Amino acid sequence: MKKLLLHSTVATVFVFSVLVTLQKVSQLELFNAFDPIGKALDDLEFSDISFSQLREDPEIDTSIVMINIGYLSRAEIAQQIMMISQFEPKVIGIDGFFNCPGGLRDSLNCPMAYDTIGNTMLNFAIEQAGNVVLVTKLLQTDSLINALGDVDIYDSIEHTDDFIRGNAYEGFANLETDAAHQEDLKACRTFVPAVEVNGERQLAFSVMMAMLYDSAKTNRFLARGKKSEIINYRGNIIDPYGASGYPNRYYTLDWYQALDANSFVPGLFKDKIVIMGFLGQTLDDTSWDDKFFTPLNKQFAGKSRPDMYGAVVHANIVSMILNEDYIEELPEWTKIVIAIVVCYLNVALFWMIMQRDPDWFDGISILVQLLQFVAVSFMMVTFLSFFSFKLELTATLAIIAIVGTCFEIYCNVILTIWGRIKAKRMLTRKGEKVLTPVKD
Amino acid sequence: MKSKSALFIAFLTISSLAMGQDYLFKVLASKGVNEVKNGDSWQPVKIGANLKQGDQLRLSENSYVGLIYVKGQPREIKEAGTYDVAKLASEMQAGSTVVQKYTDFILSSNAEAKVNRLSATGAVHRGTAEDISVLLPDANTKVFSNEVVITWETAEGTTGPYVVTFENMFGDVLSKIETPEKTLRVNLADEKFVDQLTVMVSVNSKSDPAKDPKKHAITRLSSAERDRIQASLGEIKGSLDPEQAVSQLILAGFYEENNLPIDALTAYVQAKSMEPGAYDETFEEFLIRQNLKK
Repeated sequence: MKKLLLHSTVATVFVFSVLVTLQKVSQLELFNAFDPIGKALDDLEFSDISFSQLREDPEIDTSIVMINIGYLSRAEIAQQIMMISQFEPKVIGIDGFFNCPGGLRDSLNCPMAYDTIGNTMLNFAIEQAGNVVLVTKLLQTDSLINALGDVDIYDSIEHTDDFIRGNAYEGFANLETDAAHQEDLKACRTFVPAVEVNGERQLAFSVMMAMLYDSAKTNRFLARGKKSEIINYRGNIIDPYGASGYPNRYYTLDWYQALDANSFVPGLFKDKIVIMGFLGQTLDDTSWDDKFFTPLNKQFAGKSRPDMYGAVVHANIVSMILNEDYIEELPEWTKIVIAIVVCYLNVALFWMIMQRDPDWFDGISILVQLLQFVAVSFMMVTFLSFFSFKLELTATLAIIAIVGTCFEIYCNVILTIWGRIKAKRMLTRKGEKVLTPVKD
Repeated sequence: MKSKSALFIAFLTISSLAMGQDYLFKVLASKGVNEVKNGDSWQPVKIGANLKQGDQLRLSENSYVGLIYVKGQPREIKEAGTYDVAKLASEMQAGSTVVQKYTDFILSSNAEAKVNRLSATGAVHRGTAEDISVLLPDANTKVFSNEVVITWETAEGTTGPYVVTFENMFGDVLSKIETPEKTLRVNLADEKFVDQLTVMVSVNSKSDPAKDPKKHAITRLSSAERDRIQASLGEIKGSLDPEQAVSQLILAGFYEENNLPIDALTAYVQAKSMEPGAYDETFEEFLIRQNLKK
């Protein structure tokens, strides 16, 4: 028993050492050029499979209506707002900036600043509607970056121009991704609900829309106090090319339909949240502009195409808040504890098999690993499906994958070397005893 | 006997649903020319509308309808044809359980590789991908003059006469003009258009009215922009003779410089009609410059 405990402990330490070494080597990116699989799976999370294919069908949220603004001018977007607001939606969110990119306000770089009629119409439409939420962007000034480097602190905000903004509410549209800039590939699984900027709390665009719609639920959400929340994706808008799981989950109007009162029933917008944003030139456009990879992407690993427009990501967040359907997750330390316990139990089992019947070791160990792999992955899926709990056991899966091979290395190499070292010492001691002259 | 019982149960289920809720589906999204028959007449499908038992749904080519069933499941229809709403409801099934999905997922990973590997091309569609390609820009739709020439090219096999439809921003038809030619001159000062800031133009072959043609916008300049162009034009117009093709060519250059491709196109067509064949190459170069042709 003492031997079992000792070897189980030492072998567990060895397995973790191998895992950490493998991780460190991969972080050095020494073999990246020869690691296509690692690169392809770099952004994979096991829960993505649950999100896209293996969970109970999420309910359709009929409290949100999506509207495509396509490439409409400001005057035409104003017409859309005026058309919609007469049907009394509770909130209108516009997922677009109306300013001059880069602050260049000359007529060549920013001709729209000189579109007086369009700007006046848009301002008038926003003011008349009275319930419009516009987007902002959290920024870092050069002085902040120079002083603190790469940090998640923001000291500046990009707004829509004052003469258009009027009485509109605002929320930041930044979403959590690894993208370096807007045109980079963007994978979005989480979002930041609120951020302090220069001592003032700023709410995310989606959170601000939810706040105006149902402040009680939104305050309960904010009271969770999490810096970053996992988005419980419910679905996409119409998806003619089948990139996404759970398409056709929101009322959606193309740009011309929102300008034509004959295209929809009058009650469609009453007391609802309307989110206006870019959903392609038309709904069957294949544009990648403002499009994200989400866990709903049917191609969950390897080469793929983005599946969801940013405006729809915001809609999913609003749905999550209003349905109070959040995803909980394990604290980091529990992930490590679970991995250690699983590793220890595996090693103990393998030790017992090795001691009792070594001939069966190879077959049984592979079978045990396979069964555990299926069981743990199934648990990860079912926990997300039934309990909205993201059971992130990637470290445990990695341990299960390598524990058999590592244990064999431990027994055949480590213990053999240790045995020989030990044997040499013993011989040396014996030699001393043998060679010690016997005193008469 | 068994199938009759199943049909009877399905009928009862649908009937009870229909009595509990007065609809079977709601329309979540609609793209293309889609209609619903409620009673005797076919009406365009409206987003948010209820589809009831006894209704029929008709989709044209390349259309799409997204529906939500009364029990909450979504249903997409992408194939053209006529659908009985009650039959669509009877086809709705409860969603699979997670265990079933997990089993399907594991088994689906063993699916055989696709045999037809030539579904995609290494090319894009341009120019005559549409049967009728109207030579009007997608962006830069501003126009200075009241006189506008609309011209179009057709794919092989597309024949006239053509129907040119003018609509306002809300899809109300302002005017429909039939012509055997591939060019039409229109006056925006006409009383049908005079109140419209933007006029949408589409061209269809009369022999194929079911096709959903692409709509192009023609937007009047704001009065300030108009005054600015008028002042600039005044400086050169005195030395031009509008009856000469060369003068039209100079005007075309002026409009192009001022980012008014529709006016430029009108002047080019005018020049071509005055001296047939002389400016074909110049016109083609203009079309390529303005991305109206590849």
